[in-house]
Amino acid sequence: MRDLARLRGLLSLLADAVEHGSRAVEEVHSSSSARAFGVIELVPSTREHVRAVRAVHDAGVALTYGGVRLVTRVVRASFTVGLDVAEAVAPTSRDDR
Amino acid sequence: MGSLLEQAIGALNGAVGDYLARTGNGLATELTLVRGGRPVRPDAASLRAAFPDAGPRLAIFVHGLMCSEDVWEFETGGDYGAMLQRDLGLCPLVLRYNSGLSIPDNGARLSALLERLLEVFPAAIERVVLIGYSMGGLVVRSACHHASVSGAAWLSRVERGVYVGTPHLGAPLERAGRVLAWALRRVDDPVTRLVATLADLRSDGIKDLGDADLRHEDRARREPRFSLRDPRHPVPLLDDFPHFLIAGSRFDDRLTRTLFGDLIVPLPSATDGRWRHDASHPIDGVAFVDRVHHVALAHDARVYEHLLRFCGDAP
Repeated sequence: MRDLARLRGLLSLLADAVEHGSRAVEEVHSSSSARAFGVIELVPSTREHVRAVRAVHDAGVALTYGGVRLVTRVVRASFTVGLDVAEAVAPTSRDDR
Repeated sequence: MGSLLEQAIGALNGAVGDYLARTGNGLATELTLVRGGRPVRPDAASLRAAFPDAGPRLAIFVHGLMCSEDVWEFETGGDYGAMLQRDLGLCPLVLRYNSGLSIPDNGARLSALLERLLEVFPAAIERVVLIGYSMGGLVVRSACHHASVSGAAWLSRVERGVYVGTPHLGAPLERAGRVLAWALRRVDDPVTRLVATLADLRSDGIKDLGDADLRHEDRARREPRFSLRDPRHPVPLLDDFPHFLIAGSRFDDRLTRTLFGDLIVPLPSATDGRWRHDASHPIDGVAFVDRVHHVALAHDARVYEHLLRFCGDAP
C-alpha cells in the first residue's frame, strides 16, 4: 500500500511537472513572440496582416500547450483509476496496518 | 533495489520535499526511526519488536540533505551505529526524514519524536548522544533549541552532540545560488526569468543551509546577499551539554582547505568559526580528517576513530 501511495505520488509529481512546466514554457513562448510581433507591427503597411497572423499564432500556441495539459490530465485520471483498482484488490501488508 | 529506491526518494525529498509535503504527495518522507530499512512506529510494541537489544544509552543518527539513512553505510558493510554499539554499548537509533522541509520544521518534529521516545522506548532512557551529519547537525541543533524553548524533558538526557561536516555558519554554495537567482529575476527577459524560477524551486531545506537558519524568525530575515565570510550564527550551541565537531578537507594547502573544506562545507563553517588557517595547535572538541570529500564523512574509518573518542570520553 505504501508502494501504491508512492506510485500515486510519482504520477502526481510528473503531472504537476508537465502542468507547471508547460505553463512556464508557454509564457516564455508568448513573451518572445509578442516581442517579435511587436517589432513587425511597427511597419504600417503590413500591420493589419501581421495582427491576423499573430491572432492565429497565439490561438495555436494556447491550443498546443492547453492540449498537452489536457492529455496529461486524462492520462493522470486513467492511471488514478488503475491505481484505485489495484489498491482495492491488493492484500494489506504488515506495514500498512 | 529497495535501498536504491530509498536513496532516490531521499534525494527527491531533499530537492523538492517541501512541495511534496505541501501537496500531500505520497513520495514525501515522514520523519521516523528506521531499522533494517523499515520505518518503526513510535509506539511501545513496534519499538520493542524493532529494538530487542534496547539499552539506556542511545545514539541518535540524523542524516544530511538529499540522503537517506543509507548514507551511514560503509561500502564493506556496517555503519557507525553498529560500531558504537560494539565498542561502547550505545543503542543506535537511525532517523529518516524529509530533508527538503525547513530545518526548524524538522527540528520541531525531531524534538517531538524524542519526547515521545521518553515515554514509549522499551528501555528507560538515561543518556542520549546526538550525531548529525551535514544538514542533520543543524536539525539536531534546531531540535535542541526547540526543546530548550518548549521545556521538553528529553533535552536533560542529552549527554553530548557530535556534528560531522555540519555547516554551522552556513554554506556559501547556497548563498551564491540565492544571489544568482535574485540577479536572474531582475533581468527583463522571459528565458532568464524561467531559469530564475527553476532555480527558486529548490527546497526550503536547501535554502536554510545558506545561513544555517535554525529558527523560523531567522528564515524570515533572509536577504539575497553573498559573502565568502560566514555569517555569525544567532543561535549559539547550547551550554547544556558538550559539543564535538568533525570537519573534513579535500586539500592539503591550508588556505584552500579554509575556503573549500570538504568541497561543500568550508572549514570555518564546519568548526563553528573555531578554525583559523594560520593556527597550528589542536582545537578542543574539534577533529579534522584530511583528503575526504563531504559525502564520505558519513562512512569513513578515520571519522569513526574521532567519533569513538568523542563518544567514549567522560562527559
